[in-house]
Amino acid sequence: MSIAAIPLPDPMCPLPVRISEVVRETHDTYTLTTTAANGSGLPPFLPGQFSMVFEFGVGEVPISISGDAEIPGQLVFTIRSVGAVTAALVGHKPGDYLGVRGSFGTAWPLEAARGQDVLLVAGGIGLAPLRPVISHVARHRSDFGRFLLLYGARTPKDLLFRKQLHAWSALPESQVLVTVDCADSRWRGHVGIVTKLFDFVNLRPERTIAMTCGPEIMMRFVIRALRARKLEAGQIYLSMERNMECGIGFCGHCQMGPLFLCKDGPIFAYLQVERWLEGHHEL
Amino acid sequence: MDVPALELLIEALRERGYRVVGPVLRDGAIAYGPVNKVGDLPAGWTSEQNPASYRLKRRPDNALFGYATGPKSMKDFLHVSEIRTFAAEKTDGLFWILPASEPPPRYAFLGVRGCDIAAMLVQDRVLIGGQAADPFYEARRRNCLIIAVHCTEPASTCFCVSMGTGPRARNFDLALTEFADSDLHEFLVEIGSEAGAEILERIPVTIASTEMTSRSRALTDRAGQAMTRHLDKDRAVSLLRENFDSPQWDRVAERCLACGNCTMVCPTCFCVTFEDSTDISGQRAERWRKWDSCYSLAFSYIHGGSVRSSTKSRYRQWLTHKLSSWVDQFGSSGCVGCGRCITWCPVGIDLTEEVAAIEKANSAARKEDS
Amino acid sequence: MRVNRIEELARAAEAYPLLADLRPEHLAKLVEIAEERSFEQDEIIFGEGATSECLFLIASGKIALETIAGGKRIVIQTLSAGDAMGWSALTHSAKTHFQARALSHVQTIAFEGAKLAVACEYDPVLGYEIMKRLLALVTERLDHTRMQVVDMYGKRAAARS
Repeated sequence: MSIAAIPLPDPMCPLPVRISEVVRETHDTYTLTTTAANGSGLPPFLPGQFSMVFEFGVGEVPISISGDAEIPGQLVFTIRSVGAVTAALVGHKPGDYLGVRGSFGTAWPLEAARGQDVLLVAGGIGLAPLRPVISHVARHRSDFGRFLLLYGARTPKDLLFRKQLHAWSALPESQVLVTVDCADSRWRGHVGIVTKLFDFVNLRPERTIAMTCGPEIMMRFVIRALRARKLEAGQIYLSMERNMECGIGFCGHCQMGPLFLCKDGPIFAYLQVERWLEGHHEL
Repeated sequence: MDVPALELLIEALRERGYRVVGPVLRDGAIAYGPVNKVGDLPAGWTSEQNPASYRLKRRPDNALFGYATGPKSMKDFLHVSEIRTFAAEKTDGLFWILPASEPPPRYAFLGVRGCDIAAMLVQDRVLIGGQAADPFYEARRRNCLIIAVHCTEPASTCFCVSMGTGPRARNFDLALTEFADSDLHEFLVEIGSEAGAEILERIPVTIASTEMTSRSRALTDRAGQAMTRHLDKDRAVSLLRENFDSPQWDRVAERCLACGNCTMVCPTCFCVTFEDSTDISGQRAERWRKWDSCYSLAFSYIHGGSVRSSTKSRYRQWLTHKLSSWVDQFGSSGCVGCGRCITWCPVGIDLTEEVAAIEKANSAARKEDS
Repeated sequence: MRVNRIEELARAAEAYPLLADLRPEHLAKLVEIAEERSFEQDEIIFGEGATSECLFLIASGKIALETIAGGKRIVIQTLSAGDAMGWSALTHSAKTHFQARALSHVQTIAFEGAKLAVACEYDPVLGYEIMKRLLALVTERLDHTRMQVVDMYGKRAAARS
């Protein structure tokens, strides 16, 4: 039996990239800017997509792309050191090389968000996958209504992109609110969970698109809070996380119900995952 | 076609550069392995299979294919259990992917069953039917040749009729029916493709009589009727989707050892993991891909812990994926009814019984509600 | 300065979950005992373990609830307009559990605990309404605290959600 198949470049081989810049965001999180090594081009990406980032001889991890999608020729990754591979990745200096595969997965709904108020709710490292959305909204500010960013972190020391948070709050018709779970008395900002920040914004539910990324438990609370504020399920998008090893639907690890998070996600309309997020744990 | 002609067929395949893979006796089971001549085939042997039990037995005749499928399937050759996905070398910090050394083997599968072929088609949809294609599977799959044998000896654990995959094979290049019960040991050959016809060109065969064709039908019909296990594959899709909270998951979890045997012998289970290593200088690295199992705790690990930490959640994931969400993902069930997971489960968990128990618990709960 | 007009408080009542949808006669009783109190930035509104005298409804500004942990003063939670604070004033233990410090100029409506308790005892219907609202408020506060305790952004909690 012969079968028709389209030959594709080997999707399992990483492409070498050169680190051009390393920024220490927090005590455990670094942002690495990479450019093509080898003269080969880098794949373009859409806000919300991820790459499999390869540390030579150690392994590969899925990392959301946190850069500006309209700056060609670079891929930016904000990486928190939580395991062997990520610990090795954040230890690099400019000039070192890494491998990347892809930009993989689905993107945030920027088209659907045109003309709408854009509400982003981020928790912890979950701000990184949303940063390309912010860059996009900032570049095309007049294409969108109000811009609202609610961001929760563990402590003030864990806040990512501190300088940019200030810059974003200065965008026209924008509000950036930050809260932490725990702070010492030098912190003058909010202390409490991220949903408490909803008290300080005036949502226009009929013209808002909400995008959230953070720990699953946080997103469940955020979605409840959004629904309580009269947002329809169809106006809510989120980014999900599971173990991913291949990035293209072959390894099987990232399944949640019928979904492969790597190719059907990581960005989902809430309606796609409602059933799997509410009620059933250990899926 | 008679036995000497089968010998010629094997020779013809080998001459054309195929590695012939067929049933061989190995480690107390009939497994798929290299076949160079008819003498390598398990003449006169069969298997007796029950939940958690596999025994070789002598047959009263000299049938070469008189057994039901063993622990191995075509998956072992097309979606291999361990493979190096790449090797890379570093110079001045920059690494280069080294070119793959050997071309992938061309296999001719001899004696595979309807369920085996159906399982291969299921893996086709998973590994080459989507946007991306698995290059390793694709290379092996594209060049393989299938010489099926219609199954006339199902095991007690088989239920291919329920899954619509057997006992008569489909989608073959050639298919044989073995007649070993009379003095005349012969085979009916059906041609399923041009490649099959081409191979057969130089083999001495005679045109089959209609009597022989109907004998072949009768044998597979009888095999189908002999099957005692059943599963409603269409019902299973919605049943499992709606019964994540069935008390039966707790009951099966008390028995399940989470050993992963079922995933290893399953001809459609495709999950893999990757392992990276370097040589001692740190300048040369390799990545190996290995079969993985959703029964392992590490399978769903993300920084901090596993998403599916209980055996219950892992058995539920396997069965629900196999029979229900697989249909959502790939348009067909992930089960072909080969029964391997029943035979090779060390505690004899039988998925057909589990589905029936979930159905029973489901109707009981509904009765209570109304 | 005394809040002396029912309409004013009734209008403002919607902003406070503790007062929303109360019957006018109940609001009137509360107006009787309500006081406006303001605090300057960094002023301690009450200390930890102090006798809890008042239940405050925050009209404007931001307040930090603080405690000492590991030798450091840490902020447990910040409260702002619409939030209630000091509900231990309505419990019989009447000791505050945390220190409350004004992070900015803060305006509040304060109810003296003893007076509020008398009003509730005297009119059990009002008492029940207040307790129901207080319970909802405590539940919400407890939920939020639980979420903070989970340490969901921490390395260990991330996968266990």
